[in-house]
Amino acid sequence: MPSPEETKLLTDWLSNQAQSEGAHISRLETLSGGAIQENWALDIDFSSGPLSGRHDLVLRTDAPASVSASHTRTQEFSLLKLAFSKGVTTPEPLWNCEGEHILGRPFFVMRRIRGEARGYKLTRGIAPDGGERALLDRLGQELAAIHTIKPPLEELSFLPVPELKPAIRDVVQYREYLDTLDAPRPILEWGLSWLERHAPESGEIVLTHRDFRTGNYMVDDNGLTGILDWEFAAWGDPMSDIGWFCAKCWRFAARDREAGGIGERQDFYAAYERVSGRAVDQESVRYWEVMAHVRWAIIAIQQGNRFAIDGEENLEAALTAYVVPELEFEIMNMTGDDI
Amino acid sequence: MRDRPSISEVLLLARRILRERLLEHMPPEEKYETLMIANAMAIAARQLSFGEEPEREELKRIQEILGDEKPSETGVHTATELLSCYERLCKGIRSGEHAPSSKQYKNIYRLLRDQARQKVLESNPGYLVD
Repeated sequence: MPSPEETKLLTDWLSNQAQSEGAHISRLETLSGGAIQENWALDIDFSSGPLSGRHDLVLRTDAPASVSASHTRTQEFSLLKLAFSKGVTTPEPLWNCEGEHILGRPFFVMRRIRGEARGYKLTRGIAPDGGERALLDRLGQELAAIHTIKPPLEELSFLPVPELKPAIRDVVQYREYLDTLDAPRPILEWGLSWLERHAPESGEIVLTHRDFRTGNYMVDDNGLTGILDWEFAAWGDPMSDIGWFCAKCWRFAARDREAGGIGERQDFYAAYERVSGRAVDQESVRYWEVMAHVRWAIIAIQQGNRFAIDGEENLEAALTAYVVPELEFEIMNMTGDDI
Repeated sequence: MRDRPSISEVLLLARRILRERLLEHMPPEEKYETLMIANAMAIAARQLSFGEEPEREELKRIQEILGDEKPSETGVHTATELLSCYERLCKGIRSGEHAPSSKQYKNIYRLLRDQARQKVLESNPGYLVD
């Protein structure tokens, strides 16, 4: 948490951004200690200006031990701004501080949305009255809206347009990562070879969220309040986000509910197709579900290595490595089709 | 031969005490971490109780697949040998030597599927029954 001096600098900076003569922060505390980012609840009163009054905000900054392969806060802010402007339901991004003169690390500020995001909670039942179907319908629409964003775009020029098929791009990247590990991983090698052989033909390239799943959106009594965590967004195959959302590893307490542990795929697909005008290619989605397990396994290994290699005394990160067997088990189950 | 109770039995007892007696006295912010500790203890107990047999069995199978004629040298640690076999296996998988048309493709699939299953039996056996 910031020192009193940093809090003072932050208050002045926010006041300036909001064109207010003064401001008072009444709450500044960690909301969640993410592996990659920290979110702080920030309640502030502006004394004057267009935003005069109280605002419940979130300050998002890098966690002390950041995992690679995610965007900078400034890039994430740009992504959020663009998505918000396209009508995607996200927390409204307000101000970005690229410099380190305030908190010693970059951060941005967005409005705080309400609701529940925890995967195990959401997949144990949202509403007894069919709230699940309505939620999937909404999520399908949101994903379709994200996928209307296409390259090239000046404001997203930091995102490289893939030169290879997105699937092959990912295979190459994950192999490069495996090559940095001390211990060989035959099942992931197996999975990647299967993914290389079965890579779908290159179709449209759109903005993919790359972490669009249960656990990364918020829901309150009225339904969806926002899509979160844009730090992995990249140009890619639209079916990859659908595969990530439906992959068994992201169904939490309800593995039989194939659309994100919430409900039926059909409800999610139908909304997506209706709004995007793009048919869901089920074979391609299945392919991306295999990729999802490989990708999550690699992230879980990275988490485990925070303790195993870097010596960070973080039990949650260390235990995340023990999710890998389940992921590898699914990879084997999904790639035995020609046996 | 070690004496009874085995350390995996003791670990499981310690875990039960942690979960059933101590957990309720933990402040809310420490409950999650306590459950993680209990989880780590359960994994350790299962690994201990399986011992090295699954790895020895896997090593035998992988050596057959790789065409290693001589069995493991005595005194060489199973895990070390396995690692070296994994490296060769990984190279073969990536290079295409073990492509679907290859002789060992099905055997490798079965080996890796069984390896994955064994690791789940140790990390989270409940996953296999749900």
